[in-house]
Amino acid sequence: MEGGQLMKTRKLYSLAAVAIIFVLIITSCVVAPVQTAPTPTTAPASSGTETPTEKLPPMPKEITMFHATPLAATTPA
Amino acid sequence: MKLVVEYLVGTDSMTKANLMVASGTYPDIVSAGETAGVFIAANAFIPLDDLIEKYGTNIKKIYRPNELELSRAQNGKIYIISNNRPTIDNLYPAAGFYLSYAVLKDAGFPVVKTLSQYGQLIKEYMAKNPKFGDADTIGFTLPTDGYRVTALQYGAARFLGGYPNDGVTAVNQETLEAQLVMRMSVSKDFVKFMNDMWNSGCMDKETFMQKDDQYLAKVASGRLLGIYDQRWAVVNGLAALERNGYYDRTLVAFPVVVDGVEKEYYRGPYAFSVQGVSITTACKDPEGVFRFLDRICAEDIQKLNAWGIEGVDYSIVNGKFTRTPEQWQKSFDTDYQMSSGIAQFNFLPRYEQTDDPVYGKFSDGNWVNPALNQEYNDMRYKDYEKEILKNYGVKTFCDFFEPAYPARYQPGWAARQQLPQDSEEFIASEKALELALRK
Repeated sequence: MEGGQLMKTRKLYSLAAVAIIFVLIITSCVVAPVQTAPTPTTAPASSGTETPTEKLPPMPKEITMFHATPLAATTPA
Repeated sequence: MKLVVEYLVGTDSMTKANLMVASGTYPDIVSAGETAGVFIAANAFIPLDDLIEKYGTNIKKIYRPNELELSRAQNGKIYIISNNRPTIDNLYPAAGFYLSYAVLKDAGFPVVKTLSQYGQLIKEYMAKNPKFGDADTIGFTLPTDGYRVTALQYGAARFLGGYPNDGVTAVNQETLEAQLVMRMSVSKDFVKFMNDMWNSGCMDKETFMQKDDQYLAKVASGRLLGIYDQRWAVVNGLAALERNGYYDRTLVAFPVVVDGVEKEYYRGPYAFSVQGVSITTACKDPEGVFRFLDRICAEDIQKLNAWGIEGVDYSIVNGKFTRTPEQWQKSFDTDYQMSSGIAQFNFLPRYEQTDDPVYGKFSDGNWVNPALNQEYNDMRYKDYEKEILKNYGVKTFCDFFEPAYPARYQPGWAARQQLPQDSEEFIASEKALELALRK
């Protein structure tokens, strides 16, 4: 292969590589199309594009309580 | 997570509540019972509305929408998640006009429905059987010692008139109109009944001056043919009667009404009361604490609280919760309940324990309340009780009664407990009770 042709080929490979990377980036950024199929009966796996569930606050390690009534109260008259 | 609970020492919850409010020192949560008004007036509790909306997934599932609505204070905010949930079993009715099994047997096992029928059965049996052993037979008596006099003041009359247990008030179940029992004509009907029993020699002459232990001793003696009472109040007398071996003299409850009343409401609505758990202003992490209260209401936790551990305290056979006789016996043992944790968390928000097909069941169709399994009744009833049920062709002693149903309001006795003692309403009801005894 001659030098000029070799350079041309290398440029083409580089362009192809850039194009492939670009396509990959675009593909990974595309939002999943709206699903028109029937709603699945099992929970779908996270697509990465859903809004994550709001994190619930943790429960405290200790809670103090005052109990002002007898545990076994009689039936009121 | 650790829950550190301080219980009331003694019985004066009002003094304790006022002391806590005066000091301004509170724990994270308070189960204030009838003292909730003291804390709310002192702004010691935080509104729970937003927390319920945001984190109350389980609470919204197990509390009926109208219960959460009824939980609103006068300012429209919710400060309390009730732990005083409706609970019933079908073993025995909570109240009724009781008759000795001997009377029922003698009369060919009648289902007793009216007061005149009830009185007639006592008179006829007494005429034939004036003595029980060496003692005189007693036809009818009532508890009248101290606060137990409420049976005479309004307890019996409201049921006779076709009303459920709303304390001193009778609430029409169609219109929800309320009135004082002592002012109703059925109160006079009941007094006339007692007068007739007295003149027939059937009324216990000590009725109006007996102490409660004397009353219970009469129940235990087997010489008593009839009473009106709530079962919890007479259960010790009935247990002694059983220990004495007087099985034929046990007392069976019927939903008696005066002539003309078409429907009885002895079991009435499921009793829902706005007494329960509140988060205080001192709580540093209300969201986290509320999450705990909601988590406690989840089905897996509630199964542990009500039934115990699967495989240890119960099994699942064909989808149905079941216990062996040994497991049932252990579940009745209060020491075992304490050590295993069964039914030990009823002071926190929880499922109702009724026979409602939705709110009284887990999502798998099993009753929340183990006592609603027929197995429970089979374990609890003694042979002589099974014989009575067989003779009547019924499965439980509640089968004589109309079933309970969802409540549309807080029961009158709970509402009265929440009234300030210097309010016009409370003073009026106290005055009416006093006048009823004077008459």
